[in-house]
Amino acid sequence: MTDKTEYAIECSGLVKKFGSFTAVNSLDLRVKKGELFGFLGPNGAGKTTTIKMLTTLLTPTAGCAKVAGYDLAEESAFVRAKIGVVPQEFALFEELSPAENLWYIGELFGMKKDYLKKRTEELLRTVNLYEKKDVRSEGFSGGMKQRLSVAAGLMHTPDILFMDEPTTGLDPQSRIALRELTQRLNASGMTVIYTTHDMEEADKLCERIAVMDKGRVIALGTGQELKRTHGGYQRMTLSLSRHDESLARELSKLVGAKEHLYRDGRIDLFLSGDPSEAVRAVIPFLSKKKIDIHDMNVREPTLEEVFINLTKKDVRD
Amino acid sequence: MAPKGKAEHSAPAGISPSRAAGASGHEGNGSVERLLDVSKVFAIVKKNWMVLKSDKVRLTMLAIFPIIMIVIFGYTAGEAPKHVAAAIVDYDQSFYSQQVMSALYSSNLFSIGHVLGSQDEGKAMIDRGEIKILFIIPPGFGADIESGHTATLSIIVDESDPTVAATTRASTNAFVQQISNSIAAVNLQRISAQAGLANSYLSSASRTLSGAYSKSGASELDMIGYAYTDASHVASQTASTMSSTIRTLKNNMGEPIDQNAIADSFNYASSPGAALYLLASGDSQAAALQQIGMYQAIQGSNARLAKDNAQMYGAAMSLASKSGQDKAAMASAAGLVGSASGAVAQIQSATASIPPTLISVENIEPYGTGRAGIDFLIPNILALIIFQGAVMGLGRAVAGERQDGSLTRVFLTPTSNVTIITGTLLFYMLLETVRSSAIVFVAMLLFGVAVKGSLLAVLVMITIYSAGCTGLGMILSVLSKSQEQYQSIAMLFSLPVMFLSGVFLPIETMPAALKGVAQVLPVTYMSDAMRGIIIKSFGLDMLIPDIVFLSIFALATIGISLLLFKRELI
Repeated sequence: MTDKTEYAIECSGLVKKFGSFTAVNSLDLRVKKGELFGFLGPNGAGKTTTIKMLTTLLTPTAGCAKVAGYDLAEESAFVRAKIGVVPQEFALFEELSPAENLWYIGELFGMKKDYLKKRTEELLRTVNLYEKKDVRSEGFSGGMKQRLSVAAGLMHTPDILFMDEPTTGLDPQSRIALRELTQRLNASGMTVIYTTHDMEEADKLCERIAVMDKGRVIALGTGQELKRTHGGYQRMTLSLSRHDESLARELSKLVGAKEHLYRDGRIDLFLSGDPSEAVRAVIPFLSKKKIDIHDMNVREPTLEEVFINLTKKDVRD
Repeated sequence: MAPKGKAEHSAPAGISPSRAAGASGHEGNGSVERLLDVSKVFAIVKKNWMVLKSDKVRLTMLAIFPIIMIVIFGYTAGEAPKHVAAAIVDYDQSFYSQQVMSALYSSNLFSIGHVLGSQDEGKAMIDRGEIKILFIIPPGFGADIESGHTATLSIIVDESDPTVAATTRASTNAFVQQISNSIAAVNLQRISAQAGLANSYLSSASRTLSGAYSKSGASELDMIGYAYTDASHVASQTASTMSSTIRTLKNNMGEPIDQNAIADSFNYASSPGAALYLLASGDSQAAALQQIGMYQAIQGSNARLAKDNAQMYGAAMSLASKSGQDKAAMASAAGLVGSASGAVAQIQSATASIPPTLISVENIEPYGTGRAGIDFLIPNILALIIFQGAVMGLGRAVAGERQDGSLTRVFLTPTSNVTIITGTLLFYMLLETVRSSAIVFVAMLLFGVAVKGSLLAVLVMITIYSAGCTGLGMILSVLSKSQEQYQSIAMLFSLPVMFLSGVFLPIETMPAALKGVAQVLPVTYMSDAMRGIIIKSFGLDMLIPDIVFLSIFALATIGISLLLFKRELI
């Protein structure tokens, strides 16, 4: 097939209302082919609703979108042939083994027997479940189930894979394994749409991130861009041999900090200027006062701070 | 846009997106959506079976439940209560009231503990729960029977337990019918004796007269001869008809009336075949008809006897008026004719005192002694279990899969709604058919239920009915967002049908409106059809109304479930 467009997903003015509640409000978005694109936002931000619309599972109230070059409303069957979905829930049969589950999905895709068998084997090796292919999935760990779910989503060799909060509830090792799998899939050329409410994960994994809140995309860019644009100040944290509020105020004045915080014996300074200049000023100042520095660090704003700045609320509110 | 460093390693086998994959399909990946894709239908059936098979607990429950149900019903619901505590009030104190009382004492249906002086005492005993039924023989009971009116035996039944009340009432009806049969038999015997007596008088009179006047050649003698021959013929014919009727009545007294046949006469509207059958072979009704015919025959012969007698008397008188005749023979013959005339008059009064419908079939309820067999209940149980199984069991089908998300995956494949619904329905229909067949098998094995009709007919009916019930379950499943929601909606259907199915409570005791509802329920049509096959060996041709109704039910429910099935998830 010749590429109809360079975009995997294009949508404009996409709206989904449930009664008077607007779950997704006028979404405009373009995702390039081969991109690993993240939707970041708290629960209820509209991420899942967006995914469901883009995967033809929900009809948009307004707006239009093209997925894999096909119109969402007019050519939904073609869209479905091009996309794979890893839903939030397991959404497979615990009573069945991985091989049986994939057999069922393959049958519904109308696959021929030999091809189905070959494809099942291939995918179970890819997601590292081949050894367990005939074991009932009921006793599987969250990570194993999620990997099986990915395999099911890949059954018909889609171009775009939608993964809706795939790491939620997984232990750290399983998260890492799943992220690695996601990266491998993306590296092989597959477009991946990934939703999460984990800032760190989005930052590490996704090329571009759309920050969503209350049904709107409130910021869009790479992790770096977002932090630069919306992250605010660099933060210097000092742990000193002697400390009090007046010292914190003095230091704040010294480095020209926008804000300071004195809490639990630690002093936080929010820098507006160059952090290295501040460091050069702080050290002689403290040694003159014969105050020892136990610990000192300067760090970039996190996506969490980006989010707080954007929404003026904590991400887990 | 600075893409993250793409991994250097080559793509793992099988995960590279195939640029060739299109909606038109590639090697083995035929993503074409057909309205009804048979191979996908079978895949859905097989998947459901695999899921069920590996859920050992659910599988065991599905298998055990109908067996438990049939065993419980088989041992409990079938038997009519016996030795029901009862008391009698006899206001009449006549020969007939004594007869009724002795019959009640010797019956094993009732256990007569008390003979009371008044109705109020009896009511007090019912209130205290000491007796379930009070028999009241009203004053004039015996006189009514004597004078040819239908005598009334009153009963008061403890209605606090509707099941016992209904069965007791029905037992009483059957029992009273037996008493009236026995009274009728005694009456007939008396008439028969009178007819015999009249006949012998006439015969003696004829002999005497013909001996005395053999030489005279008077025309009156011919007249007497004719009349006698005719009377004799009528008398012997009447006697033989009567004795056969008495035999029939005695047979009926010996064993309980076929209540099933009568039961069917109540709902023949839904099963005309049953009514046809009943008219052809219903023993008790035929007996009743025969009896009524018998009385009419007696009335007719009686008129002829009276005419013959009058002719003989007239001829004898005419002879006597002629001179020079044998005075002694004349007097003797006149006496005999007079006696015959008396006997005929007796018959006249006896037949006049027999009410034309001594046995009132309409009053007998279907839950009499004949209900005893599990044969009667098995059609209802079967119809109910299939209904319950389908209506309570489809929560997992769509609602459950919607809830756990697996339906989402199906929606993402090129599988049409028709295919999804058909596959799911087919699986549950097969499941119900197997379960129901197991019930029939267990009933045959454990309780000796004999399926008189063809097993194929049973299977056909079960299949059509299962389709309808599964369709109803499917409507509920399609409408529900979760299994919990499904259960609460299903309860709305399952409970009322349970009580209107006639398995737990007799439909006859219900108010007219509820009875009307029960009559149009699919469960009732199925019960009727099954009863027809199992008990009366109906073929499918006799069940066309039931088949038509249940097929409409199935098509309607399946059609509605398809219309309501939406691909949107919320």
